[in-house]
Amino acid sequence: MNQDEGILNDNALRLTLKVIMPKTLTRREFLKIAAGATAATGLAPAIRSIVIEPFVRPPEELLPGQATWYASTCRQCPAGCGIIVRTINGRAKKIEGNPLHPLNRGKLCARGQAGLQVLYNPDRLKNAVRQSGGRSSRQFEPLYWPEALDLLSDKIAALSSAERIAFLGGLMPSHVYRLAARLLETLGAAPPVIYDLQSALEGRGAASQLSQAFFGAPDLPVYDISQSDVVLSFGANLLETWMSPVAQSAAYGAMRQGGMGSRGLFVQFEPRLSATAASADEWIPVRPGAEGFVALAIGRIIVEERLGHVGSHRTQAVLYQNVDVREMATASDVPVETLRRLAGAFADADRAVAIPGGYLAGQRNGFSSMLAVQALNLVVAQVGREGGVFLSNPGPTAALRQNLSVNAFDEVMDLIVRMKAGEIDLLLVHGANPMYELPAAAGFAEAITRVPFVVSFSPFVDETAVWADLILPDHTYLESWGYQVPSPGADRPVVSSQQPVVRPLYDTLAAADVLLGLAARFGGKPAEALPWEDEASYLEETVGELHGSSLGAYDARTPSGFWALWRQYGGWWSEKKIRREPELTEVVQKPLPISDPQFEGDPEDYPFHLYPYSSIILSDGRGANLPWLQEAPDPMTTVQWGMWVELNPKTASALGVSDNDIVQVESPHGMLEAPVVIYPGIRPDVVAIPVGQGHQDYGRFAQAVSGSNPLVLVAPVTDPSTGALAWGATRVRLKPTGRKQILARLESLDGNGRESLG
Amino acid sequence: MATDANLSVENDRRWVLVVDLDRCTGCQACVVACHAENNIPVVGEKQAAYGRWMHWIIIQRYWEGEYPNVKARFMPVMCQQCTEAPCEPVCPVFATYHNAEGLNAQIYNRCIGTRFCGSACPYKVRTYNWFRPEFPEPLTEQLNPDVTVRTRGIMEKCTFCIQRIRRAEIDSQAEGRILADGEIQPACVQTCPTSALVFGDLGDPDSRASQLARSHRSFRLLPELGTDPGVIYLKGGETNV
Amino acid sequence: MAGWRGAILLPALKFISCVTDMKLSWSFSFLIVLIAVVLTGVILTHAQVRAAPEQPIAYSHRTHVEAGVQCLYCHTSALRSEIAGIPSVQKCMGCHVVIATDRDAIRTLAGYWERSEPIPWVRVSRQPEFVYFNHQAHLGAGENCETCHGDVGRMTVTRPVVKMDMGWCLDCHLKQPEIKVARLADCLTCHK
Repeated sequence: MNQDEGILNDNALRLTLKVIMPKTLTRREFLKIAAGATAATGLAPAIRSIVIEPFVRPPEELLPGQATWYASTCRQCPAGCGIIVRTINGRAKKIEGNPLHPLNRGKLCARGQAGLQVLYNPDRLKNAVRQSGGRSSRQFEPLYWPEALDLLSDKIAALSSAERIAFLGGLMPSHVYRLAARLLETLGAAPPVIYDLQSALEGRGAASQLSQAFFGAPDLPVYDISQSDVVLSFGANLLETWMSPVAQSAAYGAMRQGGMGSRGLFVQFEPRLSATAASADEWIPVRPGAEGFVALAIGRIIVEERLGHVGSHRTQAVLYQNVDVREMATASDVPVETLRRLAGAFADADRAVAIPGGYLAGQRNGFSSMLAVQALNLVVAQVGREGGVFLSNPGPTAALRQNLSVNAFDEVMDLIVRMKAGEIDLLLVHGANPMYELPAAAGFAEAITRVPFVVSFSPFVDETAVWADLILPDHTYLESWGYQVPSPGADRPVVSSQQPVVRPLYDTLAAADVLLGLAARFGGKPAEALPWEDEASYLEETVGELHGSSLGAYDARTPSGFWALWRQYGGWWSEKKIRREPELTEVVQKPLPISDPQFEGDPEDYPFHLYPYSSIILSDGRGANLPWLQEAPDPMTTVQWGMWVELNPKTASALGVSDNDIVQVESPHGMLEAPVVIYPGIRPDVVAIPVGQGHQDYGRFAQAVSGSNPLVLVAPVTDPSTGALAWGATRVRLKPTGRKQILARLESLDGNGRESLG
Repeated sequence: MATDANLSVENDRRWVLVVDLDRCTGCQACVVACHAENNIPVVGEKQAAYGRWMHWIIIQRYWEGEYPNVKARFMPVMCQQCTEAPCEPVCPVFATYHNAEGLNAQIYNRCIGTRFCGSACPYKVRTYNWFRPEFPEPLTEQLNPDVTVRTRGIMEKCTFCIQRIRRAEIDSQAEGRILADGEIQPACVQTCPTSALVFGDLGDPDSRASQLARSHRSFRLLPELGTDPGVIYLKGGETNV
Repeated sequence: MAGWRGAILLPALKFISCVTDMKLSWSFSFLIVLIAVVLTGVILTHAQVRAAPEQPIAYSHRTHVEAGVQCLYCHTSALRSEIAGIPSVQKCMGCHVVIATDRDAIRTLAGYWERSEPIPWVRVSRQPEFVYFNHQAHLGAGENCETCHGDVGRMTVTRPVVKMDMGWCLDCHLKQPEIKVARLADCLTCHK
């Protein structure tokens, strides 16, 4: 960062001058010296030479001085927006949304814009390395790739059984997942286990299970917000980080001012006012874990009082058989009048939609809450209708079907148990940072010490890679090939393409190529199952199945022509809108389950609910090594380069703390310290901490922030119905420490603002 | 020539930015996009805490009410490109002036860093390079060659992405066609997911920006100061009809 | 480089000693030395501005233009981009794989090609970083290369013919038709 020596104070200056000029200067002498100095400058050569190097062999598509744009897919979050990247002379300069891409239509969020700093990050690994000084020594010795691949294939061959291999993946590109799954299968090993903190915080796995239960297919629902008149969002942070924020934001903008005369009614039900709630017309501070009760009550009111205009609600009466509105109101801390008013608005709307969000999924009763919310769409007959809920289109061909959603947290815990028991000899980690992203209480830190050999594919030395013996750095996403079926999808079938926009900067290797290289070394079944020479040829073949499709927005005469257009357009999509209408399963013929939320920690000892949330700037922490993102202010608190704990003003005054005071936050599983931000938009019994800081590794920008990872507090408990991590089910207590930490806020707390301009 | 109509300084072009507060969600996409496009340095936590951050566009967040009836609102603020800009007459070296297309120009190589303009600005949108900006290698590869990289002692602010305006003009001139409304999009406008930002020519009554400016929701910031800004805000919470 | 500076200073010092012998005051002699040195500096700077920088290969524009090569054949992007561009090694080799292969300069060139190394040409016409000159706009307005770069076609060694400072640019800009002057004299046109 910039130096901060400031101005020498007066005494120091005087002392210095005394030393270099013992006697005082006369005016005459001073002028002589000054003139002499001026003259001396006339003697220096005024022009330096500048070398300009032309191309040796100019690439055909480049025009010097003008930009060349390449289409690809963003990988800063699971959404999969299409991007176009401006490159000049082989350097990537600016990322923009791909205007043709049906998902984001030329728009892009803050994290997408910051992708260039992933590519040009100063802390990237430049070669394959082994940690020669031992794990967490942070001493690395570079390896040649053939050596590295030999080393790994030897390790695999030396295992007593293929079942002793484990592959832990995170935000993995579909094709890498498929290759990995195939390779592991032919070796006789277990399939990859996918855990990704962003997916956990947005309830991706639970949402997929909800779709399966409600609509009979695991594809994620798509909520047609732009056409809605009333949107009831239950803990869905759809304008910040949940699912597909860019597409949802575009839809929100259209809902507000895209039509004539109607700007929709948007109500957000959640314990903490997120930026989404800030854009909503009403924020209802629901008791944590009780959002489902609100949905049940609203449904019951509509059915019982025959509200709305869809006709008879008789078939839906069974859903709300066991619901008592007054009980639900008390349990959720929402007055009955409010419930009635919103039920009326919801039912009377021409087009309404209810959205079950991430926070619901993070509770121990998450699944039943999500069912209750989804049922509301049925009650107002908006399933498969404009302004209501649709299902995402799956991939258009079998080969391009999106890989399974994330594994349940239960399955991750199973893996940890196996690791602890010494059943895993080789662990491969791709696109995940489990040492950081898993709750500390899950015990991954201990489990990894029981695994003799750990391999990481991370381009950065993150907390997990520091515990690896061998790091095989993957290309960053702007240097990579691939495809992605966006999930949730757009208004038509889409497959988004990915291509390198610059040559790989360093001696890194695509993970897919590593897997293909391993398969070739093994020979036999693995080599047969993965016969491709390299990643690009694998993709060309897979994607080539779309060639000749009657649905496509474009087509080509030859496969190579199609491959070229695929890259130019940034993917394949259907020319016309094709919305997939869901079918209802028999879940709608039974009463909806009513289950109470459960929390870790006795309310007497731990009076507050902990709400760790995914930050719009840092996501789940993966953006912490990007200076643009660290310096971008958080929308609600305006804090830059920091982490904090949000307290309701009454809570803070009861505790005797105010802004910037450091408090100790303790759960039954861990403890951290954080400075306070007084936050008007949060329930008095809830405290919120953004996820993303507290990195011990991951580069200079991530490590520059003094902060903690709130996952140290989170209890490793799950929702029994889905196996999803119930990250919102932890209770904490607070204790003032008497110390302060001045947060770098954009807003000024003392009202002086920028009158003095810094 | 017909295509000279592209060259904004020769017409009655007045570039304006319309900010629809009913659409803005405070997502900071514009803030990051602006950094990427304009080579804006990152100052680090310590300097940011002093208020020496360099953002050319910021999203101001206002709380209203008390729990549980709390509301939060967002307002993006950038250089207002005032017609009667208070920052212009105070510069001792004329590094900032008002040009014929309605932009408040800041010329970096002329600026000597007195910071008088920053003091005079009522919106406090000018940022000053207190230190030499650092771009650790290889982040320098990302720098936009169309925008000057400033050094210590230079004042800077939003330029409505003048480099994009000029490029679009030259390209359309070379192609022999007229610039269309909406063809020029500053970085913030291009990336905004909700399309809250609209850029256009107020001198063209048919441009989208002009149409939005005529909305009953429109207002300007601090109008009582008489700065006549080139940024028009649309009030949130109401429709246009 | 120090050699010729010494050669100028020595007579200057000799001059001073004469002058002091003539019992002129210290300050007067100091003043004379000061003026002499500053003048030297200024003249040297100007000389350097017009000097031809040393190039890795002794390329002669004259030879090529006399052979019939047009400016835009090598400096292709001048018509479509802000920079005119330097021809790639491939472009040179396009002809020189058969033409004049026995010459020393061509052999040096072939060496670069074989090693796949770009030729480190030294810039002749340069502007500071904060000046954004656009070739496309100027060529589009009907200017030709010689107006600013001089008669390059007759140069054996490429050198600048004029100090391309802002005053010189404005000389031409301000002489344009009135309707264009407003734009051409606007700072934002060239400084972004």
